Amino acid sequence: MEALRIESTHKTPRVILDPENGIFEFSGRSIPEDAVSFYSPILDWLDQYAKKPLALTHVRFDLEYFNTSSSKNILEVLKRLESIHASGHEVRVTWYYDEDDEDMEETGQDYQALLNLPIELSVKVQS
Amino acid sequence: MIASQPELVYEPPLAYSYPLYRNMLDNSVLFIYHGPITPDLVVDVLALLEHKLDDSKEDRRVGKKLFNIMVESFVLGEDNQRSHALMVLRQLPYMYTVSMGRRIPSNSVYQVKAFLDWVNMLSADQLRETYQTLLESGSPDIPAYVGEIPSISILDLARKSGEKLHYFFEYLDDEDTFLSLEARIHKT
Repeated sequence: MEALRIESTHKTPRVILDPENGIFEFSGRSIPEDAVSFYSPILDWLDQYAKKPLALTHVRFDLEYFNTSSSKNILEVLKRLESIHASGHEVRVTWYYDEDDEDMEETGQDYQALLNLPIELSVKVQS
Repeated sequence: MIASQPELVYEPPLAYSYPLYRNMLDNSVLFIYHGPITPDLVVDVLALLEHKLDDSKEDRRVGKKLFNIMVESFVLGEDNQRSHALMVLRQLPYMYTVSMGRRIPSNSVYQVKAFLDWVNMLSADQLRETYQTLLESGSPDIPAYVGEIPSISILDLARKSGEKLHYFFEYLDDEDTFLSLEARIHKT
């Protein structure tokens, strides 16, 4: 299975889904014109990955900001990961947030509440 | 001869400029925009806001909050076929206000008002629970849209603001009513 790499733009996040090493990353902003169109290929890719996932998948969310239409699509991404986790293949999600960004922290808590998936909230280290 | 013609002919050029300036000054307007809302515009405005906040040495927590509220406020004005939206950011001594103005169908005013009043009565915990319900699967009791505005965006604004949402309806005609919706962010 080939990796999926989408470079970031000023309104869409960088996405890296690396099936060989089981490392997934979402970083940047997410306010696309059409959130469903942007996230559809990612969800399709995850459906394929779910057929033969690695024993351990690390997922990193490091988002700057996003709107509610992206929130729904990110939830769909997390639901795919939840299914993989439920099938006995460990998935560890880390949700990064700026220490001054209580809204981003709360969003991570929302996903924790809605999903049966290990989501660790982690404060970003300022460079 | 039409009576109003002389006024049009002798109106001083740029007569609108100072009243507009005065109005913005009197209302502590930091930024105002009227036009179509697009993701490109959101990015540009947020970049501008970031510079302004850096210049004013605003508290980072307040700045982040303001940023997040503006991102969602733009959603309220998106895809508006009726007219362009109006976005106003005000900086008062103890708070910022972010307001979005747009036309909504006049026959939806009652529904929008009832929804906003209901949202304003919810506690922080109830807001969180309702938001999570809408995010996950929607609710048969809550319409996905009120007055062509996503309900979840209104909940998101209320939640992030931590304050009651302020609103005003200006009846225009049987088709359209202008809705002004304001979220407040306290500086402390």
